[in-house]
Amino acid sequence: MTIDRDELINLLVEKTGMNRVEVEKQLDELISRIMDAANRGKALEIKGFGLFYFDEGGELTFRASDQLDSEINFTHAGMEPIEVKPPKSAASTPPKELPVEKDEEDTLPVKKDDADKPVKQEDTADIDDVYGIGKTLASQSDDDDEESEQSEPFGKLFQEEPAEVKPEPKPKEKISKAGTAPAKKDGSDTEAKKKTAAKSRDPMSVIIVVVLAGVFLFAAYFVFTEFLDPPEQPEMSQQQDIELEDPPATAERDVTEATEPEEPQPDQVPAPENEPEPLNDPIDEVTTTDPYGLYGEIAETDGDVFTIVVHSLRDRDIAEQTADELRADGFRINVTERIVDGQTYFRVGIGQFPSISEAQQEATTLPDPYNNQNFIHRLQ
Amino acid sequence: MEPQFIKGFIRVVKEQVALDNRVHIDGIGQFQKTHQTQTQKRLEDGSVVLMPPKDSIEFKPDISQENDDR
Repeated sequence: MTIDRDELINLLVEKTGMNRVEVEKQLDELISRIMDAANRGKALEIKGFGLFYFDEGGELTFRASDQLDSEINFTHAGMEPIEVKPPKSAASTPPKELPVEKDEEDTLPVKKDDADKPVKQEDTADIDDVYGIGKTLASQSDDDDEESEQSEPFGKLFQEEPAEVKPEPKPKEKISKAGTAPAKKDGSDTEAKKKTAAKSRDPMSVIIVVVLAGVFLFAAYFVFTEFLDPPEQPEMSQQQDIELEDPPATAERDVTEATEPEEPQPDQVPAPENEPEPLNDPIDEVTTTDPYGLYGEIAETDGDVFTIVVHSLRDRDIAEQTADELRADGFRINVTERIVDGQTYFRVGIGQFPSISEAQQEATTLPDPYNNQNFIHRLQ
Repeated sequence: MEPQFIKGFIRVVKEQVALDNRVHIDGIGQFQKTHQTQTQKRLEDGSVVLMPPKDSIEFKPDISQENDDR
C-alpha cells in the first residue's frame, strides 16, 4: 500500500494536531528546503530521521539515521553475525570489517550505504542545519555504526532464523572452495599426526610383545621342565630311561672309558648260539662259579668288568626296587651311583662281562625292551 | 518549520514504512522497507560469517540533479 500525499497529510494532521492547511504548508516547506539544500551541494539532516543530499551520480539520496534504521529493523534487532568458519590465523579480524568488504551477495541497501560513504565524508563538514533540529551525522553516524555492529545482544533470535533463509549459491561455492583447502590441510595434518603416532607406537608395541612373549616362553619352559622332572618313576617308559641314560653314558665314557673309547659298537650283533633259557633255568647259573654272564650273583673278578645298563634313575629306592624285580628273574644285577652334570643317577645293570663286545653280544639276548634299550657301562 | 510537524512527519513515515507501506512524497521520492535475507560472507582473514537478515528503509528519489539541470 502506498501512502500518497493526501493520505500523508491526513496522517500528519492526526499526529500533529495541526490543521490540514498548516500541515500542507509545512510539508511543502520541508520539500523545498530539502531540494534547496541539495541543490546547493549540501546535505539536510532531519534529526532522528536521516540525511538528504545529492550523491556523486546526481541522484537525490536519503541516508537513514541509525535510530530510524534500528526502528525499522526491530524484528531482527539484536541479531549479530555468526562465525561459521574460523579464520586461518589466530588473529581474527573483528566483524566490524564486514561492511568494508564488498561481496556479491550484498543487496541494494548495502550498496547504497557504500555509495553514501564518500559523499558523507565530503559533505559532513558542510551540512546545512536548516531547521535547527539536527546536528551533523558525521561523528554520530560513525559512532552509531560501530555501536550497532558491536552491541547486538539478541543472538538467540538469530539462531532461530537459519532455516528461514538459505545462503546464495555463489558465495557458498566461494566459501566451500576457499574453505576446503584449509579444512583438508587440517584433516591431512591430523591424519599425518595419527600416522606418525601410530608409527611411533609400533616399535614400542612390538618390543613389548616380544618381551612378553619371551617371558611367557621362559615361564612355559620352566613349568614344562618342572613337570618333566618327576617322571623318574619305575613306571616310566623305557624310552624315557634311555633319554636319561644317553648323556651319562657319554659323560661316563669321558671319565671311565678313556682307555677304550675306540671300541666299535656293532649295530646288529648276530644272535648268539642258543643261549640257555635264562628265566627257565636260573638255578643252573647260580650254581656255576663263572663270575661273568647275565645270570647269577655279583662276583669279585680281576680285570675289567662291564655291565649292561637297562635303567638309569634319579631315585635310589626306585632303582633298588627295579633291581630287585630283575634280580628275582635270576639276573646278575648291580646298582651303581654316577654323577653326571651335577646330578646323581642310579644305574641298574644286568650281568658282568670281561669286555664290551661280550656285553653287547649278551645284551641282544635280553628280553624286550632291554635288548634294544641299553648301554654298556664299565664297572671297574 | 514547526518542530511539532517535523516530529509528526518522522513518526508517520516510520510507522507506515514499518507496516510495509510505501510513503510517497511528491517532488522528493518514495520511502519503503526492504528486506535483506540472511547471507554468508567471507572475510579477508579467511573466516566465514553468517550475516543475519535485516530490514532497512529505502528511498527511491523522484528527481535527480541532471533532470533539474535540464
